[in-house]
Amino acid sequence: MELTALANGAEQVDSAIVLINGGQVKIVPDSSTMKFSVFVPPTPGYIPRNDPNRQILTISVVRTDGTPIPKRDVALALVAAENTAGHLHSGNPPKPAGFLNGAATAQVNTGPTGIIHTVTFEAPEPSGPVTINGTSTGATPGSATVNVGLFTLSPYGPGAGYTLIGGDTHGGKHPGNHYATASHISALQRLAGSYNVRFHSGLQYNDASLQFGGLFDYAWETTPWNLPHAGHREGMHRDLRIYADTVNHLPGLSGAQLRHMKKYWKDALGGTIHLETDHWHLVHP
Amino acid sequence: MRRLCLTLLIAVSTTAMAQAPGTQLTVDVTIKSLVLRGDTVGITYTVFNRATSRDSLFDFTVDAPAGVKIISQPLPDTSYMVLDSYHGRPVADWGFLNLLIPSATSIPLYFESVGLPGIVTEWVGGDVPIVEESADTLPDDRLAVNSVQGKTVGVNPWPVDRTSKALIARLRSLTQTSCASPLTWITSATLCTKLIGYLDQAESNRAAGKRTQAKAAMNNYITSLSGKTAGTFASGVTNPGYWLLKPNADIINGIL
Repeated sequence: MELTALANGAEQVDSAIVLINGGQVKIVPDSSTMKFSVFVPPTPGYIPRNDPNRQILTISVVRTDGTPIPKRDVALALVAAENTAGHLHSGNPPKPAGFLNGAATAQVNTGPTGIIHTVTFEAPEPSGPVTINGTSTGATPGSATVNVGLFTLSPYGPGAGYTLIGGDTHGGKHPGNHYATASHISALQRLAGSYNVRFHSGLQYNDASLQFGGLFDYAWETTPWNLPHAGHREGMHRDLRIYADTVNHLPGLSGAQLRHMKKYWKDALGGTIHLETDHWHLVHP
Repeated sequence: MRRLCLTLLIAVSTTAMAQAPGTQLTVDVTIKSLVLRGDTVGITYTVFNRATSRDSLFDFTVDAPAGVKIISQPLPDTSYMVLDSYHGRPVADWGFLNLLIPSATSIPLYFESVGLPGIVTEWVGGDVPIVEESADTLPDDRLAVNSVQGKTVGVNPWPVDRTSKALIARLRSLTQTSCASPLTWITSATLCTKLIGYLDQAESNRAAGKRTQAKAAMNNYITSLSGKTAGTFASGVTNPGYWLLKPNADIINGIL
């Protein structure tokens, strides 16, 4: 015998005695970690890139015994944790948190089975924890946190033949700016070693990636959560100062020095180089 | 140990007036010497950037299918850079960090590999500026895009079959290639006929067990390539033609 009842404001269909004492929203991501998304618009000077990263969330409202309650409306919203993953700036505007079914929030219904696996979470461009909050009338709210980032990058510390710069600029809001892949770091070390032996001076390496990669909005004061660092997200991009540093009275590099670096980086190491206004942008996986 | 040294007289020309950056140059590649030492070949080149070139020369690259055993670093090292591979491909590569301007000749450039003198690809290229990233950027392959390609004498790996029969057959093929277009490293058709004839004599005598006659035929082959005075080549023999064929003939003579 099938009964129909109203439980917590929602029509409940059950097959036995209806025993609904509130409920709890359950949000279960397919994975608790995921890589960030990358979007680079077709801006002059950059190669456009549209590389979303998505996963599916399982949504339900469950009774105290854990069984799902059918046909419950659930409101979902996202919050990104500020001051995480290398971004020490917050609130101008809030850190992007990604999308739920293509929007900032989502309204879903748990349907006849009481459990759905149809909500898509699209990771934001910056790394860091993102919490997915769910509410349903009469039920205890629930949440789940997904750590967004690339968790394979290594810090590139001080060493012979180079100086790491850039972490103290722009208010020092991205102090951990020298994370990269092991292969990239090895290539940088070889370049610096070759250059140092030949020219008896060091290179100045600027921004690579943040600790867990993702969008690196070094110019956060003017373009928060946006370019111009289109690359610098996966530990494979690095800036190299080539012009004079008038503040620290350091000379620019000579033609022979530039040619050496170009040849070594591209021919010997297989990397690529682009010009970015006042510096070289080194790319190596 | 055999040692072969001669001054160059004739150069190999690599010409291009294409539009790709770094290719507006005409460079003469010359073999200054080729030395056989055991199973190893050492070659010294010079390159001359012709006055008609628009680009200064930045890179000179010689394919090294046998791998590079030694490549000498010219001094000062702030002006020259050498590499023994390009994107993982074995090459002998010299970078002129201060560029080789039109009308200038390089200092001697030396490398050695285990193998035999052979025909290999060489590339010359100018200095290509670093540009901004863009969606239509060409593949970052200097040799394919920003260089002028030619042929020169380099080092090929030893063949599996190192018998005199196999090496004579190999030299016959090299001689025919040198006599034909597009190389034309031997410019005299009459001389080409003579050279092939000497090799055929050497092989038939070798096959008949007539070692002395076979060596005599090889000596005639060598003599036909050489000029009357030391450091000169016979008429119709170019610099790469001499340095390709003469050392290979010497190697055969050494094992007959």
